[in-house]
Amino acid sequence: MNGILRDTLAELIDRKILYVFLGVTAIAVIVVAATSSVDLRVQVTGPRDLSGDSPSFFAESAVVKLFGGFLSLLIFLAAMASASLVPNTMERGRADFYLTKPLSRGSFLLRKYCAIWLTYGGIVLACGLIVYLLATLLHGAADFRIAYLFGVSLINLSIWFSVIVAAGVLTRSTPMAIMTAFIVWVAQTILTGHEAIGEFVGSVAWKYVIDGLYYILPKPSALFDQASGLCVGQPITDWVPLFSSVLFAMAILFFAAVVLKRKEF
Amino acid sequence: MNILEVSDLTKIYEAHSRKGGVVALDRVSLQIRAGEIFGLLGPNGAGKTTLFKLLLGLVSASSGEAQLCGYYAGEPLSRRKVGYLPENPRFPGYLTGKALLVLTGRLYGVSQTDIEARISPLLQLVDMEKWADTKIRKYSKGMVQRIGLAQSLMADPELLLLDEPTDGIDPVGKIEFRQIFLRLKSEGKTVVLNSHLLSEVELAADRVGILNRGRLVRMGSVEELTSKRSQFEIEADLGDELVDLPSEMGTKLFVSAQKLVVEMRHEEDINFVIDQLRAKRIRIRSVKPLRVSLEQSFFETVTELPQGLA
Repeated sequence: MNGILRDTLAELIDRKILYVFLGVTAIAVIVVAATSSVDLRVQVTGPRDLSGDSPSFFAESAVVKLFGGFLSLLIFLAAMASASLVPNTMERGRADFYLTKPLSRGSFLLRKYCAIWLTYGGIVLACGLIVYLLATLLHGAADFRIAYLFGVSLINLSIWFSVIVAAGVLTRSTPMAIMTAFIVWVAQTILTGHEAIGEFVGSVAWKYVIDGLYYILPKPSALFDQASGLCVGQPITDWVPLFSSVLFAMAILFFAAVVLKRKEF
Repeated sequence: MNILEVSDLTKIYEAHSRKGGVVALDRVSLQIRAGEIFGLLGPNGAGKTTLFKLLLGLVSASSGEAQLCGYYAGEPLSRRKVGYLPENPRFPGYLTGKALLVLTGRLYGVSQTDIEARISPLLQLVDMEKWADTKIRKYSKGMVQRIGLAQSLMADPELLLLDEPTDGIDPVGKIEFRQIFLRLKSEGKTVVLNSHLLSEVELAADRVGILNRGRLVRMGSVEELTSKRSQFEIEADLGDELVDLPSEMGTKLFVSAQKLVVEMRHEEDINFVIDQLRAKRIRIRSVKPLRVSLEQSFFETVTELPQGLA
């Protein structure tokens, strides 16, 4: 694990991906520094809520929304940046190097997946923490419920990386890995309204298909909404997004491992 | 003791296609003893690289089996004591030579202490100390081969599979590589060389196997492959003396006052010629079987044998 983790980190540093994350974080830092608490309240909650001066104001209003958006952007960047990692490893000549070591292919894939998750997860956490700490220092008291957003960010990263790793193994193509992740993202966004779509199409068969897809596909957007809700004290009432997303990630990784085992290089 | 055993190994690519697939290896069987240098020769497309890939589990066999270091090929454990230098390696360009060796050590599960202890001697062995901290993407082809050889030795392997190891290496480097192979042999390691460079194999290998169109058409020691068993050169004071050689025994290929070259139908019949010369009290200075270069033997094998086998 140690070797593959360092290898993944070395590739990330070499590709200067860190600069992109640093750039985005720097912009976020400037925005946070240049924005007053009142401005944030006006933008997010509207003038009527200005009278409220809760100690956890920061978590309850602007930060949850803005910070959630910032973390989503970091996740998007991480997913795009990591899309080439597995296809690169599968290149002719490169695969000969990695896959002729005394590791099973399934073990290699799992290690690679964990290395990607740890590396990019670490960066997302670090960038997020920098912005959040600055925001709490400048604009108000810290609220540890923001940890829900960090936690769900790591879960969402694991979901997107499973899609990207699996697509990378199946197609050995970076564009295909990116497109697959994009298609899953579009599908899960559309399927958030699966009940409304089901009523619209009318046909019972199609309704089952749409519901089936909803339950099968991961739901990172729904997870983010739930985490945002937790930050402002709303309990989780539906565990389907979490369980189905984790199951999807595990299933697709297992499938990728099976495919990789059968592939010839 | 055999470190590598291959039994009836067959590989057919695209076996389920309408055309019936491409036979890359056809019932190949061979055994390689521990501590020898084995040269694998063959024209392009003969199946040499496919054999390596089968041994290392990169492709799966259509039938037959192979064992490396006592484990079936394809099992991760079978690769624990095997070093491999692929043909046209594409090592991660973002790593330095030294980092590649560290990564290789880690992938093999070598302890950090051993990794640190092995790096410097290996870099020295392949003459890459100066470039240890340079990124691989800046290496020349020859330098990639050198660091590739070093990484293949990182796990202190018992068996080395080297696919075109001197590809891109300058002539001096080729000699250095040959010396490394011989040194590895003296340390008890087994080296399997897959090479187009026949002279390289001729000088380093103990035994040679020739693959052609997926079949192992010849195998033996370099001496066996380069001797023309039925041709003999006799150096003797023949003068004007005539030597009779019945056609059913063989033919005279060359006759001069000092030399006679004959081709016998049966090797042992050379005694008949020697007896004749002795009977005529002709002084015999030497009798030696004629040798051909490995190149010539290889050429004859790949151009003639397949037709005979077909």
